[in-house]
Amino acid sequence: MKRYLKKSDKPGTGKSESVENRVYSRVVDTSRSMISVINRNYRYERVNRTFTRAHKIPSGKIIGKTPGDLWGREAFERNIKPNLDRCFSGKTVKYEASFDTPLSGKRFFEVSFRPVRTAKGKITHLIAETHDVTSLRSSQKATSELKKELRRMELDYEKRLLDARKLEALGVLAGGIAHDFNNILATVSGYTEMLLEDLPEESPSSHKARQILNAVGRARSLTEQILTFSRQGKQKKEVTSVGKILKESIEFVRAGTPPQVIIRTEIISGEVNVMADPAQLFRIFLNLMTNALQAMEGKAGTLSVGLAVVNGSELESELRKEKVAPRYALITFRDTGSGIDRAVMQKIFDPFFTTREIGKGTGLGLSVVHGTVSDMDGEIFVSSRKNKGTLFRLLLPVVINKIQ
Amino acid sequence: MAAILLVEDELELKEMLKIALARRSFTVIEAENGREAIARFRPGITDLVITDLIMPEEDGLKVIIKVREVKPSVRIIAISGGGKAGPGNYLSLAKALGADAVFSKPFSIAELLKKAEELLEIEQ
Repeated sequence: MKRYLKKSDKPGTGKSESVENRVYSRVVDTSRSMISVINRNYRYERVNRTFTRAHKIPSGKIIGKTPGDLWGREAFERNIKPNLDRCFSGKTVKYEASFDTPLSGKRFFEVSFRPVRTAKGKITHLIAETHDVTSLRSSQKATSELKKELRRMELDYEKRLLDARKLEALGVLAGGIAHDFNNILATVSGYTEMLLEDLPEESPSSHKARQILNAVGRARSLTEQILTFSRQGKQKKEVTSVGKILKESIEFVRAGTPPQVIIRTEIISGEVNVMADPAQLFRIFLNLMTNALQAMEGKAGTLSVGLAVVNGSELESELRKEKVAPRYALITFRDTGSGIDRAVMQKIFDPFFTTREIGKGTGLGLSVVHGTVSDMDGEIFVSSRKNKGTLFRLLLPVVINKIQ
Repeated sequence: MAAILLVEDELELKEMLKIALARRSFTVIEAENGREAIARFRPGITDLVITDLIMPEEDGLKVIIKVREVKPSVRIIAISGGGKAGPGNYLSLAKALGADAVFSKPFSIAELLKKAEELLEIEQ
């Protein structure tokens, strides 16, 4: 390299250039890095072809200039000069820096300065090599972002799996409790019936015995709910028209809706069929609409119910399922009620979670909804804004081959 | 009087059912699980089997299959309180296996007695 740096080798003195020098020039020119030779006065003495191409300035106009002339005075004083000085003191300097280039904006560079010594060890020049790593950087950044996203999805999946297992265990437990409870209830109701038989019709004790039977009836409906929850995944499914069930449930709810609440519907015409237990589907709709009405607490408001069909391809990122159905029935319930707290939002699908007073709700409603929907290979999404309202979106795979 | 094999692992419930059946003058033979039930079943004596479904040892479905095999004319009532598969599934399975009637716990004892009498063709 030292030979290459000899004054006599400068361009323009090409006549005396040796073959060896031409080879060196060629090697240096074809490097993908910008290579330059800088003297003690911080001035360029030579630059390679990559350098001139990057700056779109011929080498003749660069020679004699300082890096500050090319990269800006501020960058020179702050960043370049201190490193050049370190190199002139005998060290090889490597660093990364970003520069605002006039031609292609902000770019990242790997910079190295290597001192060039004379035979006596005096540093007269340095070789600066500057490599553009912007695209490498951005691909690295993209990779690390991709890794982060992957990890997040993994964690999310693990959480879902854990939730599913918890729910399954809870289902088994709840099913067992319901079973034992039904046995106890059967004993209570059996003896009470015998008591009723033994008592004269007009006896005041008859009324009390009947009250026991009423209580047994209520307890029974509770164990039924628990069993429904524990039975998730074992529904009897058939081809069911979503629109029909939705309309029926709306009519059912409308009868008990306070006059200040308006129910708006937007249901697409034509059959939209899904595989479902019609009674369960009815219950899901009823549950979501009842919740919506309760969120409006008898104040004026609007409940908007919608049914549409969307393509599975549009939902891939949202569904995060291995198998996405070609088409989904999208059922929406939007209310203008009190909205759901962030803290509450995380738990709304948990079994036994309720915001109602103790004794006013079992907390099974939405967990049953969630379980039933999952069993239909569907998904349920909720979004809410405090005091603005809540939107429940239900996606159920549309049956393609309609059974004739 | 007709003899009934009563199979129920829940002892309080079995006792209640025994009393209710005895009040109607039925002879009651008791069993606490499926294995005991199969052992105590006498084709010449037992007219009706009232069996729980989810039980330790052999379950109620096994009892139904066994007694039907030994005595096709025997009457069977299955009762269940549900469990991991829910009452509906077990009871419909019991029905498919040949139970004449199924009751989901808690049931009305009056209705159970009525059904027992109906199956045994007893004039009320």
